[in-house]
Amino acid sequence: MYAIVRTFAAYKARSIKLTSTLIWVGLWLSMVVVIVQPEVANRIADVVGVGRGADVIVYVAIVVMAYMLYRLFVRIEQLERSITILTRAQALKDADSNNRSDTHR
Amino acid sequence: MSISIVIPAYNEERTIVKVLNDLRNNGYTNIIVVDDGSTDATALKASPFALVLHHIINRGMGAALATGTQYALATDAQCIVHFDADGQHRAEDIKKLIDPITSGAVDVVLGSRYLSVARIPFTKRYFIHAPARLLQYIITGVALTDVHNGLRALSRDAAIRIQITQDRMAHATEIISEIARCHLRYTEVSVTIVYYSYGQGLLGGVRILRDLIIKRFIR
Repeated sequence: MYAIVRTFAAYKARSIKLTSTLIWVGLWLSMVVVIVQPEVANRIADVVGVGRGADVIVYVAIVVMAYMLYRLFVRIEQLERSITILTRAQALKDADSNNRSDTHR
Repeated sequence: MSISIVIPAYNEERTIVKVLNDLRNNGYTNIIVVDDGSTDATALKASPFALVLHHIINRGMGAALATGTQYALATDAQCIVHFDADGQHRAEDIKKLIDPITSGAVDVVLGSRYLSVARIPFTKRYFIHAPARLLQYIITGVALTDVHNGLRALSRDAAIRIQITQDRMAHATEIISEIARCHLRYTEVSVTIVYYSYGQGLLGGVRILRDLIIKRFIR
């Protein structure tokens, strides 16, 4: 419940987008459901053909977390590229202003 | 033809002056040193002898080369040479690199330490370089004798079309990919590498592979 409230607060404060909000709230809600009604997991397990409800939870958690990690890696790489672009722009700008004040070369 | 030498440098105060003098003694005066966030006196020592660009934050050799190359293009360089700051390259080899470009025969000239008989550490040659060459052929479709040589010359057109987005050491392989993508004419010439230390090492190679795989996911 705490997490759900925090998520909505972040959305209000414009820290995260609508889709992200819905995804995270969905995640918290499904966690609540599974904790309150463990039977849900067992029924899914039977449908899918896996051992126990607890197994389903673990498998799903692994897949979800693996995907989140992948997205994080991609984001970090994009950030690195942005930093390089900024560093390069600064370097070229500095060179330009140095050249203007140089009297020889 | 206006020739610019681009030297990416990170904490190379011990060798940078020697390298710059070597270049100037061979008649190359358009030298651009890219100080990639060095914490030592590299920039200070280089500034009397070359134009120094400053990366405030260390971004990696690929990024430094891209910055220097971009600056060289802005100053109307017709031919751009990439040269290392650690003294492993010899300025006298540059002539062999730019001749095929000035004559218009090719767009890119790559230095190779394997084209002539050379004293290369045994383990490096067979255990590191041979698999690396095979890997590079698989990734880029280009078969070279030397896959990780920082000594190369680009025509102006090649320098404009080649996009270096790999900041760290994977840029060497990326440049080869770009050559293939842009259908540039290339050749290898024999150069001499002066060895003091071991270079990238095995872990470095693994990191390069990782970077290139990640690149496939970024657009």
